[in-house]
Amino acid sequence: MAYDRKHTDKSQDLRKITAGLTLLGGSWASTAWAQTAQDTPAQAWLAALGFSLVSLVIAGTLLVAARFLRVRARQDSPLKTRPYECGEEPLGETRIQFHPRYYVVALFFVLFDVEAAFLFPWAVVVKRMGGAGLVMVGSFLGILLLGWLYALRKEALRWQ
Amino acid sequence: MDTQVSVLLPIIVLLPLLGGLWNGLFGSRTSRQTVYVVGSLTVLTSFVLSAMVFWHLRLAVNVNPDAAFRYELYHWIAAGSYSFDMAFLADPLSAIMLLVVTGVGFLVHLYSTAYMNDDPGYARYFAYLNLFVFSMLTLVLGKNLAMLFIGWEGVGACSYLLIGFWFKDMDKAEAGQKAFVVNRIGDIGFVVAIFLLLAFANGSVDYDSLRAHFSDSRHVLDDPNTITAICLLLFVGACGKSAQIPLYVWLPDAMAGPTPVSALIHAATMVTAGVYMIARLNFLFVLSPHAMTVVMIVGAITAVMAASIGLVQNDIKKVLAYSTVSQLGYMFIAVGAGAFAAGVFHLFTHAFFKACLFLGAGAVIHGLHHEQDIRKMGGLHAKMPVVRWTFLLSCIAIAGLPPLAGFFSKDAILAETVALKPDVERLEKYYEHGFERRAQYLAFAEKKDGEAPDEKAIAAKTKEIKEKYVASVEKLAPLRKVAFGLGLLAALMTAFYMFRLYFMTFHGQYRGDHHTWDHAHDAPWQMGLPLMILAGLAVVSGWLGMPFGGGKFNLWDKWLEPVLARSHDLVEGHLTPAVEYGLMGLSVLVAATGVGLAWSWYGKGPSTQAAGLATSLKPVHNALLGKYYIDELYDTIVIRPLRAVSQFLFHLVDRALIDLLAVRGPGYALLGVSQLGSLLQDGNVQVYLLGMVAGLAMLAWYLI
Amino acid sequence: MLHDIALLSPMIILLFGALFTLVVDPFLPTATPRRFWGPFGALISGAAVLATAALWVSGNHEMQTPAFAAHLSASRLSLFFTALTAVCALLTHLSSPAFMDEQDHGFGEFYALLHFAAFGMAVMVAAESLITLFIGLEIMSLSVYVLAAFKRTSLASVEAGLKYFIMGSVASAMLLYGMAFLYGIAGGTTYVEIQRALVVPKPGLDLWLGLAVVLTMGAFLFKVAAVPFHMWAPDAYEGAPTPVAGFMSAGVKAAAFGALLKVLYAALAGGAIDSLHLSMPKMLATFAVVTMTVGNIAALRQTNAKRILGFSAIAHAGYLLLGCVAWVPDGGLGDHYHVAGAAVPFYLVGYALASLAVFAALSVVGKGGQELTGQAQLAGLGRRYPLAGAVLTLGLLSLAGVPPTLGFFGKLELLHEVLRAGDQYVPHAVLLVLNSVVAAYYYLRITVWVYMKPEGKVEREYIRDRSLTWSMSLAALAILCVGILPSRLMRMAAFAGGAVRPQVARAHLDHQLEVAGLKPPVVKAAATEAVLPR
Repeated sequence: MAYDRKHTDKSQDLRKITAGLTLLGGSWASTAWAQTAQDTPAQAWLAALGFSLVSLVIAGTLLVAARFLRVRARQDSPLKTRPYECGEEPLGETRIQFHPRYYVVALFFVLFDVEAAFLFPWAVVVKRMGGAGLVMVGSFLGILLLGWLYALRKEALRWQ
Repeated sequence: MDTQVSVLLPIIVLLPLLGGLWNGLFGSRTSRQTVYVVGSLTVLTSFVLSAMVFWHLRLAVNVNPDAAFRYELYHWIAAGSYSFDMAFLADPLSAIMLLVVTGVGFLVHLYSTAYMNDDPGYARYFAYLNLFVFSMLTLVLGKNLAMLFIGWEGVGACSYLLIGFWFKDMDKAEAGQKAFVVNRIGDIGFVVAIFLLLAFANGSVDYDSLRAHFSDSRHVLDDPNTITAICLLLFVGACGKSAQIPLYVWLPDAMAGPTPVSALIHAATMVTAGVYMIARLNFLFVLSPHAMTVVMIVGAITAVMAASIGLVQNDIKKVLAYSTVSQLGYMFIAVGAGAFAAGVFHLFTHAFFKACLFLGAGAVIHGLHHEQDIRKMGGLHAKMPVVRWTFLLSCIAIAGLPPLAGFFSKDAILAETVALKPDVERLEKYYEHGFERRAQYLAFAEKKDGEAPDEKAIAAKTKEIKEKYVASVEKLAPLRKVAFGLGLLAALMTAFYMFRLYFMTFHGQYRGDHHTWDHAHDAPWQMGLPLMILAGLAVVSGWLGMPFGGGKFNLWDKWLEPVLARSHDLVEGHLTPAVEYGLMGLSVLVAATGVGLAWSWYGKGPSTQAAGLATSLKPVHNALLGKYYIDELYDTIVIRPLRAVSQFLFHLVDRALIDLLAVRGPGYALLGVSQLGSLLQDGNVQVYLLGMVAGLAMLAWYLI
Repeated sequence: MLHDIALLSPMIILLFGALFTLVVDPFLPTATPRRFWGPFGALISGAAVLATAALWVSGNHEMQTPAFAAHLSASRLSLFFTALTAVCALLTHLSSPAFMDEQDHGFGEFYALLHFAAFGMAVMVAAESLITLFIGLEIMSLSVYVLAAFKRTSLASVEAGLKYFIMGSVASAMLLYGMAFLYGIAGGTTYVEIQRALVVPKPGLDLWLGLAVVLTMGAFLFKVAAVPFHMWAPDAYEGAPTPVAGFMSAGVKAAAFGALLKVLYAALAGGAIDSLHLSMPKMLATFAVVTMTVGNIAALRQTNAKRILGFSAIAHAGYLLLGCVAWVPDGGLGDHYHVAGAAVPFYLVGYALASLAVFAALSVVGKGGQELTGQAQLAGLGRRYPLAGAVLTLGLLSLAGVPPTLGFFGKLELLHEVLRAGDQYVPHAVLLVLNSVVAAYYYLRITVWVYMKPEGKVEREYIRDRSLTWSMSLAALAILCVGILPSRLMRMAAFAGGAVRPQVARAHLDHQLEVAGLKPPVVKAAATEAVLPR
């Protein structure tokens, strides 16, 4: 299919890395900051405020990033006339072979999903765990990041 | 001074190892001369050092009869309740073995420099040979049974490597494997015996502590049956290594190796390890007259059987091989009869004349371009004077004609076989506690309600057991006469077949082709010198054990006395001089008869008489030629069933499950066995999983 | 926390190696040969061994304290097995580069996966809870599945990996299921909690406990390749790249037995199991005997060296299982412990080294993408490549248990321990001896091929590589040296065995060391308390 190949060059990798780092670093930094907050009401409110600020920044960054990073069909492309701009055509036999890349994507999804699943309980007890907890999750995310880096270099994230 | 001498022991052992390693690692890169020099010189040095040890031991024994040199290299294993040391012991017995091993070992090395000169694998050969000497020295110098066992396995491995030395010939490689496998069977017995000793004797298998242990009856091993079992297991090991019935089959096949190897390993040293082991453990064996009798009778039967096979063989080395088996049988008669000194004496003299015979045979084979069939020899006395004379001397020695060595050692064995008997009273005393305990046990078991049996009942029971034991020991006495008779018969046969061999080889007309005859040559000096030395020793070595003068001149027995003291406590008996001289005369007569027969039938080459006898006794002759079909028998009753089981499993597991399902399955499917085939094709992992489910079911059956 | 991390240092080192390899490798130019990862991996594994040694030598019995909320521990047993698996990884790292390059599959991931597998093994043997055990097991297994199938152009290799994977998944499921039952019974996943729950029999739980034990043991029997859970083994060993097969037979087996010992004697012990009248030792002994017999007899007719070794691995699993039984003197798993326990760790060292030596030596025939380990193809190896021939022979002799190799003492110690465990094991011991005699036959057959078969017309080429040479020499040297001086290792193994249940084993171990003329270690009273539930 005639996808737009304009943006799928090497420079995209760098942007993806930046985005990933921002994402992970941002969530880590915000919680770290929240963790250092003391328990007086004013400070608690301040923490909540900080947290929502960071969330906003992240959300905003993501939106803006998506704007630049997305892969998009040209206006004159026949893709625009199709039911979906991306994904398989829902036509043909029911028993078709899926391309392995779907599995790769699914794997990545599961991976980061599980990561999130680990982060939630941690976030609940983050204060009680103190600096040690921070180090633990830091190394956990770090290791995951390395895996992601590997996948990136191996071009597992490229849709070809 | 003792400690200084003791330090020599590890050096003696390790020198050949160093030589072997050197030749093994670098031999292929250095010149032939270097290999020869390294190989021979290390063993020669060991021999010189051994002689020093022997000399110092003589001096020490003069002062203190129990003197021995001990050296502990290091504490080897100490785990749980047992411990082994890497330690050496040089007492009179091992000193003699030391001299034989290094002495004959050196001569064989020297001989091999000429014999193996045109073989491409000479470096490998010398490496193996040195390693063999190392292992054998470990065996005889070890201070405990564990060391003996290591040497035992080591010599087995070297023997395996050397038998299969010319491995490109598949038969020869298989002969090596046969030797290895048969020896393993013996080894099981040996290992189990060592374990039992470990378990019962305070977790130590050191000779000194074992001897102390078995001198005192107040320990758990006071039951005659247990001791008999241990002794018999040890004897199973000895049977394997020393080629006795039923495990002798490997030795004749072992002749596939180079002839010097046969001389050193399969005549002079390794095969006598079993005899050495029993002599070493004499303090244990004398405690069990029953096991001793088994040893004696097995030895006697082996002696006769092997000798009878030797009567008709035509391969020069096969004759010598069966002769070796037969002579080993002799040694077992001796140690079984309690004449340990005589057994070791025969080991000693046999090492010389049999090594000389093998090396002589090697010289003949070498001179005739690898011809081994004596039917194609004859008249070689003209071509090979040195070989002929040394061979003749050795033949006289082995036939047992005075005053050569074989006469004295064989005579000592025969005389003591009839003379000795176990000292029942002392044995009874030794087993006193054991009898009593058994009686207590039996009395307790007979009482119904667990009430304690009275003293009287126990005493009666003890007496009953004791009497039963004494009676069973007494019953063994006539078997000595049987062994004596068989021994005499074997002596007759030995004299006959040895001289048949001699006459066929060196006398009469030459029966081979002329080309070989023209090129036949006498031994070069490297081969001639060992022959002469060994023949000289075959003449004189017997004089160490002069039977005359009531043992006054018997240096041999006196020398071994400290080692065998314990056995002399428990075995007793003397012959009057008249009977002794009578026996001597008898054995000389027998030997002379054998030689005479050989002369009349084969003195001028094979005669028509001999051929006629062979035809008239065809079945017997065939049985002998076919070696009693023992190999075939083993093949039928042992090897084939094993193969069949293996084959069956192979078909079931491999063919049916794996091959059929995984490999052939797709093929069959294509061939049209579609339904079954396709089922099996993708079914193989499922079958595996089915196995797992079955396993789970078994687990569940066990557990729930 | 820091203390916990110090205890983890061997695992951290291994993980670092894995991640470093994984991340750096993609950034290297494609043309760069990846051979250097082998020696690098060996260095990393060596560092892990050193770290383990440091922990061992520091000898602080606080180290026996379970770390990470009682989910991991650095007891002597853990350390012993961690070191052993790291040594396996080290030798495999050395023996694989040349082989994998010749097979055209020398990718960086291979080495990363080796590290991951070693890491998983270390976690497995250090685990003090079912969860950690499972995580370690899965990290190890998944890595090994991929390693087995690594030569993806070879059908045999892919088949090996796939079969191993499918069967392994079932086993993992079984284990998980069994664990779930155990968790349900105990209300906790750590061994201590489970043991505490099993101290007193609870009515109505027998069936569930039985199920739990069946499922858990089934999974372990799969991992150690015991009959009838063994069928994957010959295929997997034959198909997997030769160095990987060595790693599988040495490392995986060591880790599985290490974990099995812990689960058996640290978790599944207590009055509840006794009250079930579970004949666990009897069951294990039966499986052991069947396993060794089937393995040995099936090996007799094989004509491919790798396949023979696959069956031999099964047979050795049988010997080792019997060794596990020998830890229990009589009937149940009650309080009359008899943890001499040196036999299994000690035997495993000998077995692992011999396997690695043999497989390393066999990998020299992998020239040009082939793996010619058949009967005819090995002919002449002994003459044309004496080192490989010699190492192969030595390894086989050690496997066969011929002195003075390490394998001999392993068998000796094992036999001794089995006999000491009680009279009811005498038939098993006899079968063990008979089996090892049978085994000598097929081991010898390989040496016959290597040295004595007439060579074919084809002049074969062998892989000659420095790091492969190192691997072979190191393994062979270790077999010989430890065979000649075994008592130090034996002592360490006794320490390791004694660490399973220090509070019970201590008295016996002290006695044993005293008998052996060694000084018993000084133990603080508090240290023995520490492993007990707080």
